[in-house]
Amino acid sequence: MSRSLLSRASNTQPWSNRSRLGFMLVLVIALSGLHLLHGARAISLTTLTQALFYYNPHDFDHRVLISLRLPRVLAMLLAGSCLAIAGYLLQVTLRNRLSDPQLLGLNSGASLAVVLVTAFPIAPMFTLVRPLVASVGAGLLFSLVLLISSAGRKGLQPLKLIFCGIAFSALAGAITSTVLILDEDTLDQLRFWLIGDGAGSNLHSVLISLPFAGAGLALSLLIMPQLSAMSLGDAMAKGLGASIQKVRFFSLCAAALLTGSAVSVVGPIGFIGLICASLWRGIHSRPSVFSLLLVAFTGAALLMAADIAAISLFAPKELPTGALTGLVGAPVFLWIFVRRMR
Amino acid sequence: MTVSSHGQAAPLSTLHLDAGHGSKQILKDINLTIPDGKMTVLLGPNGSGKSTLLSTLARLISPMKGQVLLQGNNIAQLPTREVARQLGLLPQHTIVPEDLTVKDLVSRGRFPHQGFLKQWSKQDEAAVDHALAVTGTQELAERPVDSLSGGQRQRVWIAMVLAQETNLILLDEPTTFLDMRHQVELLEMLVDLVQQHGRTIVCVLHDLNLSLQYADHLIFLKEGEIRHTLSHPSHCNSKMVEEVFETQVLAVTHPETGLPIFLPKSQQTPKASAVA
Amino acid sequence: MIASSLLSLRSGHYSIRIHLASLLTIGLLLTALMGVIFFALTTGSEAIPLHSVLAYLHLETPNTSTTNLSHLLILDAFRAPRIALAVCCGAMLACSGAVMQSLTRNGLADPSILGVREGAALCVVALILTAPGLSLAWRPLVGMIGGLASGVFVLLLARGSSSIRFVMIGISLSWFLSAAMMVLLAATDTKDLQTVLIWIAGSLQGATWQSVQLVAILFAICLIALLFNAPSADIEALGDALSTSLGVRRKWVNIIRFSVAIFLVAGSVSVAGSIGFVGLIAPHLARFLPNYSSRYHLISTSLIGAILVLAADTLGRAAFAPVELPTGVVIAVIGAPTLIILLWTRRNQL
Repeated sequence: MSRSLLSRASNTQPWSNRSRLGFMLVLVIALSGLHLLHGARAISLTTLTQALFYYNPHDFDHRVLISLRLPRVLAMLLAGSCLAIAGYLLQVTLRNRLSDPQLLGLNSGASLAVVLVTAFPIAPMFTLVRPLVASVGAGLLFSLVLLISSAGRKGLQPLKLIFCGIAFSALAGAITSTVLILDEDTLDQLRFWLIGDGAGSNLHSVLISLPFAGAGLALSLLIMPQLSAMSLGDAMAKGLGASIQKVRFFSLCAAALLTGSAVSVVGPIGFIGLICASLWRGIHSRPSVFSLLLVAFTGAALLMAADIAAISLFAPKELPTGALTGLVGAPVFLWIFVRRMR
Repeated sequence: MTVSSHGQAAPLSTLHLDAGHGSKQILKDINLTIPDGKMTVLLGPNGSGKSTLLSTLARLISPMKGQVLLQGNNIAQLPTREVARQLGLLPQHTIVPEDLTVKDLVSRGRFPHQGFLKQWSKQDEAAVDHALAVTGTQELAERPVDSLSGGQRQRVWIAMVLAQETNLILLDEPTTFLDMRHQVELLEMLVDLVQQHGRTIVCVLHDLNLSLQYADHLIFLKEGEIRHTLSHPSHCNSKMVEEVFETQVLAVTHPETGLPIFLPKSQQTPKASAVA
Repeated sequence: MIASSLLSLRSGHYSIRIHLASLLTIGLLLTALMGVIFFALTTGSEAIPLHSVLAYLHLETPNTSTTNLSHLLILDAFRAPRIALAVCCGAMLACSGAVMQSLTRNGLADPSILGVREGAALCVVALILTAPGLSLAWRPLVGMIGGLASGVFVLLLARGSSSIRFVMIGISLSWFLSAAMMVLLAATDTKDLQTVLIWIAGSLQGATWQSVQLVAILFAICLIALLFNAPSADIEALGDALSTSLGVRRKWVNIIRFSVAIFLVAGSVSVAGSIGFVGLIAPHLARFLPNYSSRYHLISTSLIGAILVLAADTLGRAAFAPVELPTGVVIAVIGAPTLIILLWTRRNQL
């Protein structure tokens, strides 16, 4: 799947922007449909259309579709596109294609924040602000990663960035496990969510995350022109009148918001941003609204495909979705790195 | 077998040597003999294969064809420690471990003479002291190597190779990162090693004119082949230099040593005449 | 002056060189380790008085009126083997980290980020899940095969061992393998899952004298091999060309050191699960102490690793008793900030 996309993008005449977007959109819809129909209980297409347009609460199939499968599909759509955009923003802003919310500590920061606030409920109505808590956690831990990795004479080096991401993720992960081991209630509440599993998602959490994801998306759309000026180099961007520090800050805020909303719905899932942006050639040098949407659709499609695989590979057992993206993502990371070294 | 004039095997020689990096051949049919107790300099333009030749002589690269002979014996068949007691090398790029003092670094040159129950003999001690004395680095002995200047550091590395107590010393562009004063100091030290201490030196150098002032024996390489072998620097003429380096040169004579010097001919109008 | 405290003992053709400051360091570390061991023996869910511990160690004649027999039982069946295992595993991981760092000439190389640990773990988990009844002795063997396979894979892919490439390939392999582990765990029955989960978290709970024996022998053999090769390793630090010209048989020395490093990790992982960061930080901590050569450095590193793991394990047992924190988690809480400090201090070199 990804291979054919890639060869199309690189070898033959590049598709027009609109047809690429259209293709991805169709793919997303097709995969979502497949996800809805596929599962322990096979449901026909006609039942699906009926359930969507003439919902009958007494029909068992309809109930399965609308209250079990639809929330999961929506969660995957939201999380996939958010993670992909966040990864893309990080890659463009840091000028480092190996960036991903998981690798740079955003995911584990978000998880830690959610676990901490669940265990020590300081915020009232926590369930309503969970995406915000996750975003703040992601943002804070990532700031630390950036702070340490950009210190030193040579500035931000890929190896340093990755190592800081690993170190801080490990620290956050260890604190998370400590809290969970000591506090069984929290563990019970968050068990499914923690391993990046779509099974725990519900309509409620998707709806709560939506405004935060929307804010992140709006912010990233707003700074796209400046980011595209920055892709020409800092000096050039200054000449074009973009305030580099401000753009970077907003871009990282947007990435934190998007990651936070994704993580609070499906838990920490890695590598989506890394894989999606690497599938399309040239989008790093031309950041635009089009690139952003393309990456978002790709992310949604990818996570949807991963989730379908997670359900069906060892059916009736379900695999954690995050493990599958890791299986694909780790080799992609290596591929990007080796290609860049040449 | 290559035999020098007085009947004894040459310290180092090659027979129909082909070598290169990986599958890429660089050296083609090299036959050379390094004279005993002399300073031999390998010269040639970039990519001529001088460093490859030196690496092959020091068994860092194994030949594709032919042999390197150490005292008449095929170097590839000698135990590597045995070779290390006869042949020392200073590579162009060296790594200085953190927090290592000069004396510790020089002591590491004794490795081929040591063993599990022969960790630090009197000869080891004496060789290190001697090496420090000859290179004038005694007063640096307790300093960490990474705190030294480029010139000092290069002397320390040479001290390490000297502590190895080998008759043959191979050096790959030892003057590259040094300024003029340190280049001259280093070359005079090498000449001293040959003349006072009877060592045999093979050295890759970049600077033709400096080489001509200090070398006893010169080998010119180009495109992986030996073009000229000179038993004395005064045999060098502008035709050879122009052929090897592909640059028009003007030969002058050094007023003190009487040895030749080659100046590049400028393609543009000379500035001096313009002023006049 | 530290550098001048070298002492040479000679007799005829034989000579031995001793660095007094390094020897003193080792002595101090050994004393510290003893202290931690005694502390670990006395603390736990059941506090055991020192005289019982001494009686257990046959350092004091047991006084039947004060020595509680159940204490001796607890010590012999649970605490002592666990402590011995912590010491062995800590020393093994630290030692292997030191070797990896010097082999790759990269201070950030560690078995946990080179995929070796994950490779070993994956194979051991597969073994536990497919043949739960098999003897414990098979685990190190299978772990070694897995570790060696991933190590060789990284080495072949990186072509040569001293580069960023090596580390990056190792990192992505370890991610891949841990994802594979998650898939494996999710795809199997829950029956054996409990054993596996405890083992993965890096807990020393299941320590038995049998496993202690196994890893102690392995460690002794590996350490001797490393100490024997240590002078060559010192020379190799000067670069490939110089070490060849000084007569180091590089190919053999590197093969031996690389495989020993993997055996050490795999052996430790197969009995004590995944304990990270020790291999990364212990060699660096040892570098703050006077160590004349890599022989001394290896020994200090092993001792520091042993102290670290034992201290972390004791802390995990005692801090929130009766709830026990897995050793791997405690080590990560200590180790990750150390790594961050390390990254900060080396910010100009990376």
